[in-house]
Amino acid sequence: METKKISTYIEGLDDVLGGGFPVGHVVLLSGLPGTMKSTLSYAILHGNARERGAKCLYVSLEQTRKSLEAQMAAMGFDVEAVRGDVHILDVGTIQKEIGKSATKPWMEFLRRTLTTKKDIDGVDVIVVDSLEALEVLAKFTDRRTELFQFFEWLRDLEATTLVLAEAATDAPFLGLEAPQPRRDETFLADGILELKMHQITDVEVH
Amino acid sequence: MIVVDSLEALEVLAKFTDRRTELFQFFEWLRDFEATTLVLAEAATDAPFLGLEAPQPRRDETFLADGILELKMHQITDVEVQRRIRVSKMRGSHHKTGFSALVFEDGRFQVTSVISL
Repeated sequence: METKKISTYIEGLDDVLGGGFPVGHVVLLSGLPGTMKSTLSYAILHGNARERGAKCLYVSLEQTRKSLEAQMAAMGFDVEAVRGDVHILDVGTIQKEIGKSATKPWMEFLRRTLTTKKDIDGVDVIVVDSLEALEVLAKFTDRRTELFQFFEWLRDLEATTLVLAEAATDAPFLGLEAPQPRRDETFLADGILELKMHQITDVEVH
Repeated sequence: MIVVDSLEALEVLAKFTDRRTELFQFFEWLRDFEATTLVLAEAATDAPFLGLEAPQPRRDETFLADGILELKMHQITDVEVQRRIRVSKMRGSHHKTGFSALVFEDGRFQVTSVISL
């Protein structure tokens, strides 16, 4: 049976993906700073909201909503047009206001917030920005097991989730060129999209 | 406008215990200042900051900052070395991604296209 897929609404990307993201998948979007992880993932939410009225949630763990919305507006997205369908969970501001003294159970907070969002409004596409920020907040003691449980929990939500991951170097994420430490999340995720900067000449980088 | 010179010196002074969280709080505090801040960071090698040539460990500050300017020395011949500059990240800007030449002459800086390859 053909798996149901959601479009990315990014020209050319659905073809590369073989028709879009399979519904319910947890997909890593990996790249160095400046590779447009946040902008690309916001574009996917924006497209899904505009084109099919999908309910979307952008979980921003370290960038405030004000900053993220200003950034996306500056990149040319009509933030206002999708405000009702693309919600930004501004953990950045909460974290900033609570400060590091807090020993908040962040994972529980995140789960409850996502469940509430699903119950009230529904949720089709989620972006978690980023895995590394989540790790700092959640203070995993058994990283692989806790990530496994979190990814399983996301799958049970029946939304499609993009998890932004910070690549260590611009060597391909999976260590095709240089030896890289094994990254558990790459084995636990259903898919991986890799973004990189490629040096074409000693001057040009695309 | 503020310049913080340098991040590494700040780290030595501040003795961060939870580096990423404390850097996040510091950068947010700087943003609330509503000044524009340049934080000077010491690249580990002359390999580009973001590890285009050599594998580098992930640097949390590169993900927390709003933008990154990268400076490097580029060897043109066995005697000539040129200063180069590149914008590798700038949130909310359609910036160029390649390297330009950085020249300092008669007391002022100038950024120009690279002519000699």
